[in-house]
Amino acid sequence: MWYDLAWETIRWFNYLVIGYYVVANGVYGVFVWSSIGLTVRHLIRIRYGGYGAIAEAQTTPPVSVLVPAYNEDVNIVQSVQALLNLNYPAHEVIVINDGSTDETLNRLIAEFQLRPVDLIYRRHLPTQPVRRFYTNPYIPGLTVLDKRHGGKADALNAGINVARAPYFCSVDADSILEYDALVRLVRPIVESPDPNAIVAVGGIVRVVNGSEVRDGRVSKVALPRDALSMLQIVEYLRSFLVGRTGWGAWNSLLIISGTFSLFHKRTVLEAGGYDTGSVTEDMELVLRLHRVLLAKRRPYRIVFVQDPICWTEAPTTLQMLARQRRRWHRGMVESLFVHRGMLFNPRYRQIGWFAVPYHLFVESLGPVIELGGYLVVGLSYAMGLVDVQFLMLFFTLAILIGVFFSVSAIVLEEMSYRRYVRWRDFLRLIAYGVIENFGYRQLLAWWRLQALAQVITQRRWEYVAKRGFQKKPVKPATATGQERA
Amino acid sequence: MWWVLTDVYTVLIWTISAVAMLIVVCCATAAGRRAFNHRRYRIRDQLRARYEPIVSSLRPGTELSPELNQPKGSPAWEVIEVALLDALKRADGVVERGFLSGVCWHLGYVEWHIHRLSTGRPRRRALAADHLGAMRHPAAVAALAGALYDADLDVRTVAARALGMIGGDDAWDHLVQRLLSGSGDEPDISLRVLKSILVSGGPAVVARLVDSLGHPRWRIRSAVVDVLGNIGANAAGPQLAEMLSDPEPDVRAKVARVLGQLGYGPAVPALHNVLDDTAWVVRMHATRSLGVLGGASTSALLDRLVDTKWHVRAAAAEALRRGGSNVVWLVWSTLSQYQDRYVREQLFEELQRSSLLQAYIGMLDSDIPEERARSTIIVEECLREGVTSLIVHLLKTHRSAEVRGRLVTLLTPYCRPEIVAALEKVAANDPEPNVRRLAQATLEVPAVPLTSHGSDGRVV
Repeated sequence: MWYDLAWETIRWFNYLVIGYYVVANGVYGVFVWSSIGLTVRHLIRIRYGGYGAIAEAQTTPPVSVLVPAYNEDVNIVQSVQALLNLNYPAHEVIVINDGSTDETLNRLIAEFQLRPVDLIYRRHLPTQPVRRFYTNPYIPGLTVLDKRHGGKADALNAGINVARAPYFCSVDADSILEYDALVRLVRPIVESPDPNAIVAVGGIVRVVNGSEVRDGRVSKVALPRDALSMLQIVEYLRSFLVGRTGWGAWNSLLIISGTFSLFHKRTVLEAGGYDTGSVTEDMELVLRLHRVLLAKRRPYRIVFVQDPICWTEAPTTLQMLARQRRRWHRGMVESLFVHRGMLFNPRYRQIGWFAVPYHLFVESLGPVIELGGYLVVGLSYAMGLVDVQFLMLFFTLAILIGVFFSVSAIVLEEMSYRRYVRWRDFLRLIAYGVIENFGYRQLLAWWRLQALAQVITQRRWEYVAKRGFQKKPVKPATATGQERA
Repeated sequence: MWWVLTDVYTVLIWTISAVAMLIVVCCATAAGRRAFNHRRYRIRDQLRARYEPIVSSLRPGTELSPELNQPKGSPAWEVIEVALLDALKRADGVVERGFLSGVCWHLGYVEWHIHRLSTGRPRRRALAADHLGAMRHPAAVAALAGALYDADLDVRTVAARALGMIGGDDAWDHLVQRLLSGSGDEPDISLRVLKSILVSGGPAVVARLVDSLGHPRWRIRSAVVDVLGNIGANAAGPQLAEMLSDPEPDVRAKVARVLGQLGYGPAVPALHNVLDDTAWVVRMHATRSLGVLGGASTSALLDRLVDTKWHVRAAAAEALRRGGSNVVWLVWSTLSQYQDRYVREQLFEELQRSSLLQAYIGMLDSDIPEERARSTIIVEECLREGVTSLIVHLLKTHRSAEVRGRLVTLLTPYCRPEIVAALEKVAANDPEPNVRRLAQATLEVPAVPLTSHGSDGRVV
């Protein structure tokens, strides 16, 4: 009897695995197809973008750039300088020093000759106490806010409380925006006949590892030597050029990278700001925006734009990468769980019927099915449910589909933005698009599975240390510090 | 055919073959395109090296080189166009720009793009409109005016921008017409885009816009007012002042703001009349504008200091601050009378952000007794309000020993930890013995507690 039960279970799990592959790959296939069309269209639109006009127009909406900083003394000055020099007609930079224990604040004070002032702080959103503000009357676009440590979401909420512009753009302190990234990001808002309808815009995040950074700008784009960074570059390309573009086309974006995103401040305040209890506050906020706006039946759009580029540093050790991915996956699962009320709820339209179910059943539970699949397929073979020929064919197909998606993202990059100009770079990207399917993907699935276990056991957020653009030594990681990547 | 699906192995093999084929095709396409692009860029570089010097040597009155006549659509033709557009961007002055624009017309580029504007896919049409705008030839106005009503939003937007670049009476007429003809509740070109284009028209569009101030749709009236304000259309002042009685609060508010922006002095009485408007936004903008225009009745502004909306109170405080030292004086006395938290905070923030407080502190050692007295009172008010950070910072860093000494005296009664810490530092380290002695004496005086600056329980 036990044998029959196991046999039956395995048989159904096999169907589940096949169903999972069909749905996941089917959706991604549609995204590849639609992103090709959208990218081509976008490329033509860039040619008549009128970015110069936006950068000079008096009617371009002001933007507050919020830079949460925790122990960022390696990069902070460079980052702020680059942000102050962005090509934008009306922007202010608000750096939120989130209780750093290093020299972040002192470096800012010294470099920009800041003076302590007492500004108005209205707590539209509750935050940890603010200790002090710093400004320099001769750099009117810069405000530094020093507050008690409360995490990235708390720091962003504090920044929103201080922001004076109708839109705010969150940027990580260890990231680099391209000179006209903000103008490109704001374009959908400027050109929308109903400017209030666009509540959030996400830009593309690219991996800076291997590239040359000078004076807060990426002066030469190149690929890194280490395999781990290469694998992440391929992954980022796939995720942004195919995934985000695809989801954006259906107004179903659930994730806008907190590293670089623009929001309509009033709408975010209506939604209650960032959730300080979430480890992926960016996704949680986007989910909440969908929820609030759909519940109010307000027409809105959350848009992804491919050409505003933000360069960010990717983890260079397996340990750090594992922590980052566990945190991302855990955050996603928790956010989806918090908003489970949207699942198959007709009130939430495409989000309730499509985006949330996909992220919950395919993305969140994916690692269980993927890794369980390996186990069960082996068992099926042992129990005589499948033969070796089927086994080999199925694995080959799974791997080839993975390769296809990676390669299609690289090809899309090649056909569009072509940041990596050398032939060698192109060939390396293709090679890593193939290699990542042998080990790296399985490793990612394993970390995501661990994250699921963490959700159940409620472990704390892990710290991800970065090296900084200046190639200084890696900061020591604290095991229990609650911090973002 | 169905027999294939009955055999799972066959299905798998076929699918694997298809996916493998797709991968190979993708890679081959990308590699092929890369190789093609390399070649194309190389050819373009060669062509650019050949034609760019010819184009950049073009000056008004010079003969056109026959080399510039190339078959339409050929790589050389495209390279010459790019070079001409670059030259137009760099062109210095109307004459040179007009000459280059004429060259574009003579070589057939304007005609080519006008043709493309009426045919082809939307993105191509938009691109044609963009090029026509960059060429700035008046012959393109009619075609672009037609494109303002294109079915595609991108084409409409780019055509509007192109007309703005070409300018001229005809172009502005079409653009104003487009602004006024928006259908439905929402405009069908971004109002923001139209506004920014019309602003670039400057005085040429003012007369046309003034005529449309009475448009039946309030969004349009509001946009027109906005544009007039951004242009700085002083001539429209009388008509704008009349619009302060518009039935739509949004329009009244914009008019109130724009009158201040224009610095239109004769509007002061009309602005006084809307100081008690039912919409607080109107009251706020009217108050602000009165502050900018000056000549406002101080008592009327002081009345706004007790408005039910803090935005209006803050605007009144700001307006009074702009009135100069005499009015600032009056504001202090009013503040001490009303003790309005929001107004005070706004005023203190302005003082710090604009470096006025720093200037006042600098006046503590002024030779003019009145300046000295007022600075003292302002610093004392700041200290009472809890605005101490900048004062404490200047206590430690100000270059004048006399100012540091005065600050020590002024800080004497306050017991905030950072003040005590700063005084201790000064007592120990100040280069001036008198200041050190003063600080030491100060530390022995019993102190009083302070309130905290910040509206919602900010912890310092």
